[in-house]
Amino acid sequence: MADGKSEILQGTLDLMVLKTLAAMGPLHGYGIARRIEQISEEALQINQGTIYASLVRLLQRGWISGAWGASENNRKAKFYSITRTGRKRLASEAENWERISGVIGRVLRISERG
Amino acid sequence: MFSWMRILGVKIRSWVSRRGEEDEFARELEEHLALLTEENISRGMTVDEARRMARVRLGGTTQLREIHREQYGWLAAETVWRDVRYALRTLRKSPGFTLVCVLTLGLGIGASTAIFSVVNGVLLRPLPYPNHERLVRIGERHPRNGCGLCGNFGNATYANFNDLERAANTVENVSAFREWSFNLTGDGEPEQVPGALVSGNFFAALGSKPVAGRMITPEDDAPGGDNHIVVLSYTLWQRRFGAERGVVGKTHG
Repeated sequence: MADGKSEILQGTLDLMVLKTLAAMGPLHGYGIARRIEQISEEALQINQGTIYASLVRLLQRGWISGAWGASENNRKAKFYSITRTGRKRLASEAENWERISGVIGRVLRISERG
Repeated sequence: MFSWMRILGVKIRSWVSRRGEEDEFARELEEHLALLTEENISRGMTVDEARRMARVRLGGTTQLREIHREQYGWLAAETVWRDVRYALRTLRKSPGFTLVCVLTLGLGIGASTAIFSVVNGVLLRPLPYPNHERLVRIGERHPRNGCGLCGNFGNATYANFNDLERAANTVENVSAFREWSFNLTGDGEPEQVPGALVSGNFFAALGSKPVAGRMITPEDDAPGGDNHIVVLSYTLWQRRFGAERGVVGKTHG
């Protein structure tokens, strides 16, 4: 991506969105954002709009699909759900994440004098 | 590479993110704002405050829509670029196959282009005459000399032409021509120019108008008429006579 944002951060948000959809079933953008905030116990106050950038990325890779439906209060909203490819990707990406965060954790724990 | 991709992105964006796509996204954001506002109201905010805070939490919708549009373009461009690179890599791996493909395509395209040029010139492009769709060529086929089926036009006799002119009632005008070459002498070097002998109503049938002077008329053709009239082609007039109007009425060798 050439838009200057850290790829790791983008990837992290994508992973969270994917996991949320895998766990909760079809959700609209607001639902996803709300869910991520709740899980993070409000520690992660994302600018909810950034969810949509993530949703577009996931849609174009075919990891999620979107369809219009009725929201809780009977208005039209676009609901996203994870695809089969998305589930496979989620498994491998989650594993990847665990490995990387493990490595980073170990690196950060190295004492100054080694 | 990135500037190249940006250009491609701009192009692809125009067809990927069609208006419908953008309108849909705008509606999606509106719904998001409505839900956020409701949440804020349930937390005890006034309606105005709830709306304002909802906008803060979501971020500027104009900017979001801009990013959305940008992203559609970008990802499509990236995918295309990836495909192109993959294709090039694959082709490089099997040069024999690549060569065969390139030759096949090259020859195919070349042959098609050549055939089309001929068809376009001969069949598709209309003749440069008014009412060109009503022009037909009539010819005689002589079974004994020349091939009877290859569409050659044999020379009809003058008597046959006269019969045809008198009797044909499905056509407006029958005129005859015979390709001929002429020797042009006088000022400058003598030269042989291609031309045709035509009957009196030939130009009337084609509907051609002269730039200067007049065309050959049926009176020239009639017995006792002056049958030494020449109509110069525009190119010959320009080239040989310097487009001089004074050439009209002069006698040439």
